[in-house]
Amino acid sequence: MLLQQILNGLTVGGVYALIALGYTMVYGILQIINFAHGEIYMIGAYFGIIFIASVGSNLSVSILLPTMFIFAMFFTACYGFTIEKIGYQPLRKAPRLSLLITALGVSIFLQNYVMLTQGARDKVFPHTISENINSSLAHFFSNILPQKYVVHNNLRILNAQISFIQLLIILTSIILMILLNLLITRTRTGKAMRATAQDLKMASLVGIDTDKIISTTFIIGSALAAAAGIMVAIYYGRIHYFIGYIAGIKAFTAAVLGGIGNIYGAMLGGLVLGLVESLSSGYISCEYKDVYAFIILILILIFRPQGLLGKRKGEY
Amino acid sequence: MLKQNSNLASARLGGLVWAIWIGVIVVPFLGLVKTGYLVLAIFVLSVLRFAKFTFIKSTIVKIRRFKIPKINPIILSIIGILLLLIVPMFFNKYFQDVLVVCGIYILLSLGINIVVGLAGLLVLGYIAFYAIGAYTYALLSIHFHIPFCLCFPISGALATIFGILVGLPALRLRGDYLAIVTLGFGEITRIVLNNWDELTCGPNGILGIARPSFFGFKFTAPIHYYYLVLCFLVLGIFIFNRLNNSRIGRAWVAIKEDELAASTMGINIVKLKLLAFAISAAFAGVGGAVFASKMTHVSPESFTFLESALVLCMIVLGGMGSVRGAIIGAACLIIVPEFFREFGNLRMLLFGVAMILMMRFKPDGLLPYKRKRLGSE
Amino acid sequence: MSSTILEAKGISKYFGGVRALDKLDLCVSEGEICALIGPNGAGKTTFFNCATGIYPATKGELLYHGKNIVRLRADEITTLGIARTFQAIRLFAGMTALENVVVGEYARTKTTFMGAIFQPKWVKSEEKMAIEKAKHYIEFVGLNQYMDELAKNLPYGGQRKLEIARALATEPKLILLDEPAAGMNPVEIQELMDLVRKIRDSGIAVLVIEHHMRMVMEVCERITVLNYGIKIAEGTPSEVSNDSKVIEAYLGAQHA
Repeated sequence: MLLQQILNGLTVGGVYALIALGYTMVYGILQIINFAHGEIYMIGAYFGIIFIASVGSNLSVSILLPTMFIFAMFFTACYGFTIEKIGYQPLRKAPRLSLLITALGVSIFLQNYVMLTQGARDKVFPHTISENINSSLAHFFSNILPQKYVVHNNLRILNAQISFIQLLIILTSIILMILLNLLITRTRTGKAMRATAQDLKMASLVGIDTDKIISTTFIIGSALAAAAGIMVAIYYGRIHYFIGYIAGIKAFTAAVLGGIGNIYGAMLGGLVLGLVESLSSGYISCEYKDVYAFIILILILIFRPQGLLGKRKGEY
Repeated sequence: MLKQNSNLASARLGGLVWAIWIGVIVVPFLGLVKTGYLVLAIFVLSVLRFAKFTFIKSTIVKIRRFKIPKINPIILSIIGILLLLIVPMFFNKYFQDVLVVCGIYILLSLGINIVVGLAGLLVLGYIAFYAIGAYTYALLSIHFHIPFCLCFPISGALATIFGILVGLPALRLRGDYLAIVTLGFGEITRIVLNNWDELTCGPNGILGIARPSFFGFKFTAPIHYYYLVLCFLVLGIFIFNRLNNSRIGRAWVAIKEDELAASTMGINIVKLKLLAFAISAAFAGVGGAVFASKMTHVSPESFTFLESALVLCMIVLGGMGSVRGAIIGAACLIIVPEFFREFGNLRMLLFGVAMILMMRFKPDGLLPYKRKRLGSE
Repeated sequence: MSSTILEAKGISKYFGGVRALDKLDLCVSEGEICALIGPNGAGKTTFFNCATGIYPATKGELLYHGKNIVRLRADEITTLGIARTFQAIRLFAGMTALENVVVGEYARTKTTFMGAIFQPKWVKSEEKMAIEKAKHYIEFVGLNQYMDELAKNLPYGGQRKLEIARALATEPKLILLDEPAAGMNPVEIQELMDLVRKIRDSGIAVLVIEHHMRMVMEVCERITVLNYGIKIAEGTPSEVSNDSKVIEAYLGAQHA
């Protein structure tokens, strides 16, 4: 039971962490809460389903999965880029409240845009395809893992069972986070991103094209959110134009929990939040699942506003 | 001339690039045909941007130059009062209803204006206080049959208490963090209302709330509520103005402008912020009670985050820190969309676009507020 | 010997491992104009921040008329009678000059929440008095023509003066001026020196942080020199300007 909840928590937590990264990276550089980021995640999920609907059923899983991810991540990144260019870039010198209202506007726009073009009803990720993905993954992993771990197309660890889609989510999240970490620590762009997050003005003075860096940040954040969106679409099997809101707030909670502006904090925060949610709904009550997230958020902000990994910033 | 031409050419090119780019990213959602129309529309619009609208521009200048002739303020206010009191009687019921809703939102805008517009504290879960007011009224009238004159102040008071309870820990935080905590509080309130079946009847909400009566007179028609809301509005505007133009209001604005400097003026930051929080919660509480009494039905779905965002948008749209900003903002977002009902869901989409455009081109609102000269009366 | 207003006893302030201020002793008496000077980063503003309750000192005592104020909040200290200006001007930019000064009178007025709403007679007369007084302070610093101008639209020197007017409106016994002459031209500095003397003559002690040496030497009666958070000299302008440690701190060792 405990192990089961932990594994479920890690699955959800991975998703939260991927979305939280987008929040935290943007906050780190622009100090704005990009409320539209939840919607970006939703758009990502829709792109996944649109892709499946148009080409899905006749491709084999080994081709389908990567192309779907690339397709959705690419297009969603375009959305992130465009939103930043149209909505946020003209407001670089505006007060933060203006940016917040813009973000709300973008969020409302995207929700209704998706609702109008894709319909107000739930969109279903074809069950046959997710089954297909799961069994192909099971087949793939049964070649690697000892036989006793694979039972009925599920992964069995001690007395807990998770589907291979869950394993896919956990592994993909981890891989994407490692890639992001490499990008940030090892590349020139990453260095410029870190510098811009430290001090935007100073970075532009030493010759960093900060507008480009900000665009890059939005692109990366959106792509990560899209990955999260697709995985949720496969995992739960259905999505809705409204999923971005609650996921966005949860992911933001995760970002704050870990220390907003801190990339490792977002990763940790997402995982912790996923665990807390799954454990508390498993052991206490499922109805108030969303409340726990908010209570944690509020407690963290009041007692440790810098988050788990953040550093306290002095007033002077 | 040549330069102008090349400017226009580059504008055309830029417009074309943008139009195609937007087209590429919306194609999977819209399909080919609609995308084609959209691309064309964007291209035409972006080129038109550089056209010379001499006619429109000169009209705008004329409108700006137009000064309202000075009418005796007493006559003006009599006309205003007559307009407010008499004219709504001749509207149809539906529009009277819209006016009542608009009035409630003006009350909310005034309230959030105190905390956001004056004290500069960003609150994103404001609707929670509205919800608390509404549920208090509902529960009081269902279980205790308390006369309605008492229900309104009790609802306001309970909202105030919650305001203080939330404010006490939250006000140590600054800026965005405060915004997030209040957002969290708003969500918690809604989820609790949704799940605490014994008290709130869960997602279905509370039905059959008694309509208020006053010395045997029963409020039934929308016009009755219109006058009720009007009374509260007059009271609300009176309180807002008195506070704004006093030592307290100045202290709030000082805190908004520069918290540290304000504290070195002898202003007790925590106390004053808490006061702002409490008063604005009271406004929302009373507004919620009016809402509950009018609808005779409350349910959690009326108190979503979108509502909080809507109220915030109202004061940003109208111009923060003033009564007229709150009124204009609420009117724009409640009454104007009524004229676009045929648009259906497109309305919300346009609402989002309008928010983005507003922030880009008129971030201080339609009527930016300038502080009154002191001692001018 | 006139009585002491503010006495610092061994005030220290650490930021993490950095000692911004180390065991500073300092004393300001009634009717005095004192200066606190030293190279950049010497801890002068840190002392102001400790003395006005922006943050508490790590160690030591600050006695205001014999009362320890180390743990008090900024607004409590202002109410007791210490006012200040800021090095980087911190006016209420969106308010008019007059309103800025009226806000300064917050601690000396009493209008409550209920009073503001119902406006009984005493509130009305208090409001009137506050505005009258504020006008007086604006005239005192010589900004009559900017009365109803938004603070952010004032010229730089005017903003500095407005900050002083605002601080005076809190009716302090001691005013702390943080680099008031910074960015001013010679004419404005002359006016400022006259203003500082005028403030002293109206019965308010002045403690000023200043880099502008002419102002320090001409106006101030006693000077305290800080370097790296430590007091290195104290005395009259002539004593301090001949002190070898001071010359070393400012010009480097070889000049001493």
